[in-house]
Amino acid sequence: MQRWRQVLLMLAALMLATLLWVPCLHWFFVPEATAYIPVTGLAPRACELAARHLQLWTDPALKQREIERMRRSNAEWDFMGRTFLVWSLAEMALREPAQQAHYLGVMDTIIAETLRLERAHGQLFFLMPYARSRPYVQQPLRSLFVDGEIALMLAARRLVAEKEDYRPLLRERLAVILERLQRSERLLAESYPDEGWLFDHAVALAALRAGDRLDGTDHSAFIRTWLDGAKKNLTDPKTGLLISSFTTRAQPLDGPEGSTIWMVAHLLRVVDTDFAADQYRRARRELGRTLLGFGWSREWPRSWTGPLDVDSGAVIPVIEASAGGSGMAFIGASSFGDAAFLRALHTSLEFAAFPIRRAGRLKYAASNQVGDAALLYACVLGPLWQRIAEARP
Amino acid sequence: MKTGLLKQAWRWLNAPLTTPAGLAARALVMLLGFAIIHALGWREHTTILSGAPTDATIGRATAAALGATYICAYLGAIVVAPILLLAAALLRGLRRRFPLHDGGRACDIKTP
Repeated sequence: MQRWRQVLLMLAALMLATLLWVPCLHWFFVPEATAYIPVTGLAPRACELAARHLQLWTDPALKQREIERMRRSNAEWDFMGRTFLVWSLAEMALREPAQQAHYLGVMDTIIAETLRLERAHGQLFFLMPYARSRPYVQQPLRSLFVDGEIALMLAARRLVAEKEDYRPLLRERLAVILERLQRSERLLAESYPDEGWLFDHAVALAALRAGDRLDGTDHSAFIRTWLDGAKKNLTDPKTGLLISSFTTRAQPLDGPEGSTIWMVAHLLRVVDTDFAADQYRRARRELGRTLLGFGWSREWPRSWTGPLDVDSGAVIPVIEASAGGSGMAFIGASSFGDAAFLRALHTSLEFAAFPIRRAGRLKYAASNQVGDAALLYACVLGPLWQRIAEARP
Repeated sequence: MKTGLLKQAWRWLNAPLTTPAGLAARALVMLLGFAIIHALGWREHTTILSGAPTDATIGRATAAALGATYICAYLGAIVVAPILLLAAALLRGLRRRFPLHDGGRACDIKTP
């Protein structure tokens, strides 16, 4: 009897302690908004993340080691790490004019090396092995994933400061993208054999819009037609969210995914503000979650479950928190000024992503180079997007 | 003197879980364990969560094991240990409020 009483008292104490501690836990991890939202120049967190990436691209041995590590897991990450960093540097150059020359130098190095690798090894170099599993429907082989992101890298660089060498490169790249999209009955291009991704199409649309801003072209009619087609053919009827991947005939492959839709909503801001805001609101409702001060993104809405893959990253059971989806949610929340969700996401980041700070440089141990580059992008995005949006008719 | 202290510490660490001392001792073990693992630099291996290996010199399975151990120790230190410490304090109060027998001796092992 005495023993049972002891056990009951202990359980009561444990329960009370849990009720006291768990709701307070986030207080120890919530950062000040000024840590990640810039007042002037760059926010402290952006500075720390950028310092780490700039070190990678200015220390050849370190860069080689990091890139090899990324490529052992996924060649796409090597490529996306470059693109997110170039887009981030463009935003940073506009936020910090005094550092512009330095940032432009690094951007040019990354772009030049990426183009060299593409010339030397072909676009498959930046794709996962299954790109070789069967022939592409459209020949010769090209991936919208590679073309779109390179185009937006070139455009971002030119939007900060004109570089004549890149003018024809961007024009040619956009012409290829447009030709291949228009060649397809549903205006869909492949990133992998008979597999198109919404992410890559949204990047391509943003690149076209950036090209309009830079070179005085006008792709408004094409973009409108593409968006109409997407609303009709690429929308999940249960959630109203755009689906992530599809065949060239618009047959769905993956449904809506957190690792895609947050970034897509951000990209669509420069082509259709209202539609982008609608997609963000739906994503927030279907995928965004907050609890006890922490925030995260599900990878799939309740009405759809897809397979775990390199995009979703690890998914924590029960709460369904996805590493990939949550990383992209930073970009969505930042782009749409969703301060409460962004704060909750940053709280989770400090709690569960294992930050490592050394000599003014920051990396998240539970992330990788592309994840950290995406986080950096979320901390700095703004002025470049504003500049592209100015081209909207 | 030294032996006496060691004996007392050993007795404290072995205190039953149902006592304040037992809860506090387990919290301390968790905190110490995490401190050691953290000092060993195993935080780096949590990169396995992103699907990327830490470096070329370590196998994926080893990195996964070290990363998983670090995560468990971290959660133990950040989430569980504070709960145990709070519970120890609360249990002490509860035992005063609800004595276990007429003599009012709340604990079979003295709380340090």
